Amino acid sequence: MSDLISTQNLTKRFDGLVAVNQVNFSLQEGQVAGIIGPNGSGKTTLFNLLSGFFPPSAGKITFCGKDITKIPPHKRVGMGMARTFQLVSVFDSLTAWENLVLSTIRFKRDQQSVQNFFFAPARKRIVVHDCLKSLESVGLEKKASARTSELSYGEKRMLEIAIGLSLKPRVLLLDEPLSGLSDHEIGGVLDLIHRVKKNFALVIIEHKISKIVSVVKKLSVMKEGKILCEGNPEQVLRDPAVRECYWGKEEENCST
Amino acid sequence: MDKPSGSYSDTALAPSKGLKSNRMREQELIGALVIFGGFLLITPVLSVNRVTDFMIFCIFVMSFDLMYGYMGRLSFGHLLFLGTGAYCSGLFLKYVSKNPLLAIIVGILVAGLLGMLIGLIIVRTTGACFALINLAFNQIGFFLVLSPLRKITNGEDGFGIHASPFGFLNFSSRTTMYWFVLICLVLVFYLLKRITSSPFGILIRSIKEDETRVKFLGYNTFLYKWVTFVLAGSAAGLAGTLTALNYNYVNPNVMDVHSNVGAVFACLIGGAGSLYGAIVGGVSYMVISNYLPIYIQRWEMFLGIALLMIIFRFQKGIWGYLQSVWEYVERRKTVLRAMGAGAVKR
Amino acid sequence: MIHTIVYGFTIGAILYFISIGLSLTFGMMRVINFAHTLTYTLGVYMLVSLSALFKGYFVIAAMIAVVVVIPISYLIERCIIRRLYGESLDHTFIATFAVALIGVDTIKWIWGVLPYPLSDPIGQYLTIGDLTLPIYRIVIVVIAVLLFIGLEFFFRKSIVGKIVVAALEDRDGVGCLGIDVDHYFSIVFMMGSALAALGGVLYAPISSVHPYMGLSILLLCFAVVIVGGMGNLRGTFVSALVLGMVMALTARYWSQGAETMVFIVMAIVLIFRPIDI
Repeated sequence: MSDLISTQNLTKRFDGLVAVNQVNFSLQEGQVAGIIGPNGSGKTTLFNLLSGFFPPSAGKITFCGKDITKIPPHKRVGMGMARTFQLVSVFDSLTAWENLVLSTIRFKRDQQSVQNFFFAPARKRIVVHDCLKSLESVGLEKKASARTSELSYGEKRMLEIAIGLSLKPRVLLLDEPLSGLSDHEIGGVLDLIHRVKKNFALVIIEHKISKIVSVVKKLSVMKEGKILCEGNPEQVLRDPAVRECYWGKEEENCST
Repeated sequence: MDKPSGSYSDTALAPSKGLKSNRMREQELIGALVIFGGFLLITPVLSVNRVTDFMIFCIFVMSFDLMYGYMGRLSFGHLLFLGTGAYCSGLFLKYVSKNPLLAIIVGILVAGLLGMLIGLIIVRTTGACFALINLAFNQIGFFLVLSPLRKITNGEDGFGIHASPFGFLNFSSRTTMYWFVLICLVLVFYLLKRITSSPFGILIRSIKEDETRVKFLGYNTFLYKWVTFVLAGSAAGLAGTLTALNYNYVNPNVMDVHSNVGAVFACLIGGAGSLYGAIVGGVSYMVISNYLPIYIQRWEMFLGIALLMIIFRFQKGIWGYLQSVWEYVERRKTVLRAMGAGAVKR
Repeated sequence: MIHTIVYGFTIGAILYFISIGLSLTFGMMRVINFAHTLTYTLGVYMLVSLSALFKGYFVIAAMIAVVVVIPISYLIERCIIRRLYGESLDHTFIATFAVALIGVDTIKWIWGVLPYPLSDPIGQYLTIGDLTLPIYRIVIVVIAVLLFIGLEFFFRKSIVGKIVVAALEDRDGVGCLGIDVDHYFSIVFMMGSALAALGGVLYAPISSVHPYMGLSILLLCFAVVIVGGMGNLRGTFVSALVLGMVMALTARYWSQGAETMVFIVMAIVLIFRPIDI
C-alpha cells in the first residue's frame, strides 16, 4: 500500500538551529498516527513543513503520490491536507457558523459556483444548513449565532476541529488538540476523534500521551529534530531511549 | 449527541430566527431602498448640488471602506483611482466621443485596469508598507497629469469637458445629474452589499483577521486580495467619472494625495467595515467640511480635536456605536427569554 | 553640476535631520508619527518671530527656536503618542494626523497664512576656481556630518544610546530587564523633535516658509525612512543623502519631478523589500 504522506530527509534550519533533522516520516491511508516528544523537539515544525507553512531547507515531501515540497499551502488543502494549530485559531470577528462557511463551500470553477461565491448572500438556507450540520457534529449547534469571541476555549477548539472536518480532508493534522482543555472537554474531543477516525487519516501531536495512546495505531517520538523511535504505542513507550527522553536515565544502583 | 434537525426552534438559545427564516433574504434590497429614501429626504434641507457632491463622495468612501474596513488594508493613495476615472473619462469626452455613458464606462474600465496592474505589486504588501506604496503611486499619478502629460491634460489648469445628451440623459442639467448619481449610489451600494454578505465577503473579513489561517482553509489569498483591490479601484473610478461630469471640469486636484484623508475620516466617523457606516460617515464628513467653516473659523482644529476624541473614545464610529447598542439590546432580550423559559420549566 | 551635487547634499542633510526622529519613533515604538514635522514647522515659525527680536543674531535665534520646541514635543508625546503604543496602524495615523491638523491650524491662527521670507544668514560665497558656492549650504552639510558622527558615538558609547539601540531591536526584552522603556522613548522622541526643528531652522532661509511646509516634507521623510530602514540610523543617513541627490539631479533636468522621483524610488524599494508592520 503506497504512503499517503511520506517525507525523505526532511530538514529545516533556522539560522543555525536545526529544528527538523533529516526526518523520514510516513503515513498510510486511513492510519491514525501520533507524534510525541519533549518541547522543542520539532513536532510543530514538522507539521508546518507538511502543511506548507514554510519551505524546508532540504528534503522532499510526497502527498498522494505527488511531490508537494514546492506547492503552496492553499493548494495542499485542496489536495486534502487540513490542519489545526497549537494556539486555537478561529475567526473571533465572525459568528460560529460563519467560521464554517469558507470550509464548507466547495468552490468549483463553474459559473453557478462563482456567482454563489461572490454574489449570493452567505446566509442562504443551503449554506447555513451545511454549516449547522458541521456544528452539530461537534455539539455546537446551539451556539451557531454566537460571536466566536464569546465561546470558551474548549468550544473554540471544537469549532476549529469542525472547520478541519468540513474541509473533507484525506488527512487531518491536529496540533495539540487537547491543550488548554478541561477533563470534560478532553473527553468530548476524544469522543469526536474516535467517531471520525475511520473517515480519513489523522496525525496528532500531543503531550497528554496517556489520552491518545488508545486512539493511535502508530506512535512516533521526536527528540531534537529527529524521530527517535516509532511503531506500536505500547512498544514505543516501553523503549528505554524514549523513557530516558522523558524521565531520564535509569540508574543501575537506584533501588525502587 | 445526535439530534433530529427539527429541534432548533425549541431551545431558548436557538440560532437567531434570522438563520432559518426567509425574512432576511432581501436585506440588501431593503438597505438600498432605505439609502435611496434617505438621500431624497435630506435633499430639500440642503441643496441638490450639495447632495450630489455628497453622494459622489459616498461612493468613493464605500470603495475605500471595502479595502480599509472589510479587508483591513489602509491605503494613503486611493484617490489615484478616482483621479484616473476622472481624467480618463474627461479625456475620452474631449478627444474621442461626446457620449457620456461610454465615457463613464471607459473611466471605470481604465481605473479597474490600473488596479489590476499595480495591484499585482501592491497587494503583496501589508500595513504601513501598503499604505505608503499606495501613496507613492498616487503621488506619481498626480505628477504624471501635472507635467509629462501636460500636452493632453493641460497640466495644472485642467480642462473643461462637455458631454452631449444621451437619450433623455442630459448631464448639463443639475437635476438629471442628481438622479443619475443617486441611482449610481444605490446600485453601487446594492452591489457591494451583496458582495460583502456573500462568502467572498466572509473571506475578506477573515483575511483581515488572520490571513495565514485563510490560506490553510484552501484559499489563495493573494488572488482574493487582488480582486478586492480591483473592485475598490473600479468603484473609485466610477466616483471619478461622476466627479468629472458633475463639475464639467477636471484638474489635478482630483488626485491630490492630501485629500485621501477625507475618506479615512469619513470611515472613522461613520464606522469602518460597514457600508451604512461609510455612507453615514461620508455625509457627516461632507457636512462638517462644507458647513463648519462657515460657523467656526478654526474648523480644522476642531476637526482634529474631534478626531482625537473619536480615536480614543469612540473607535467604532457612529454606525458602529449604534450597532453595538442594537446588539446589546438583542442579547438582553435573548437572555431574558432564556430566563423566562427556565422559570416556566421549573 | 557641482552646484547640483552640493545642493543634493544640502537637501540630504536636511532630510537627515528630520528623518532621524521619524526613524527612531517608527523603529522603536512602531508608531507612524504624522505629527513629526509639526516641530519642524514650529521651529521655523519660532525662528521667524525670534529673528525679529534678535536681529542679526541668527545662531542665537536658531538655538532658542530649537530649544523652545522641546517642551511642546514632550507634551505631544505624553498625551498622544504614548497612548498609541501597540495600537493599530490606522489609529496611529489618524491620531497623529489629527495632532498635525490642530498644530497647523494653531500656527495659521498665530502667524497667519502668508509665507514669510527669510534670507540666507551668511550670505557669503566660497570661491574655488571659477565655482561660487554659497557657504551656508556647505555649513549645513558639515553640521550633518558632525551630527552623524556625534550620534554614532552617542548610540555606541553612552548608556542611554545603548538602551535605545537594544530597544529598537527588542523592546519587550529590554523592558524585561527592568528598564522603563517609555522613559527612554520620551528622551528619544524629544531628541528627534529637536533635530527636526534644527532641520527646519537650517532649511528655512533657503526655502519658503508656510504653514503646510511640514506636510510636504513629511512625505519625503517617510521615503527616506523606508529606503534607509526603520530604526537604522546609518541607513537613514545614507538614504537621506542619496534621496537628496536624487532630488537635486532630477530637479536639474526635470524641474517638477524631484519629489515624484523620490516616490518612485520608494515604491521600487518597497516592492523588493517590503517592510513588516
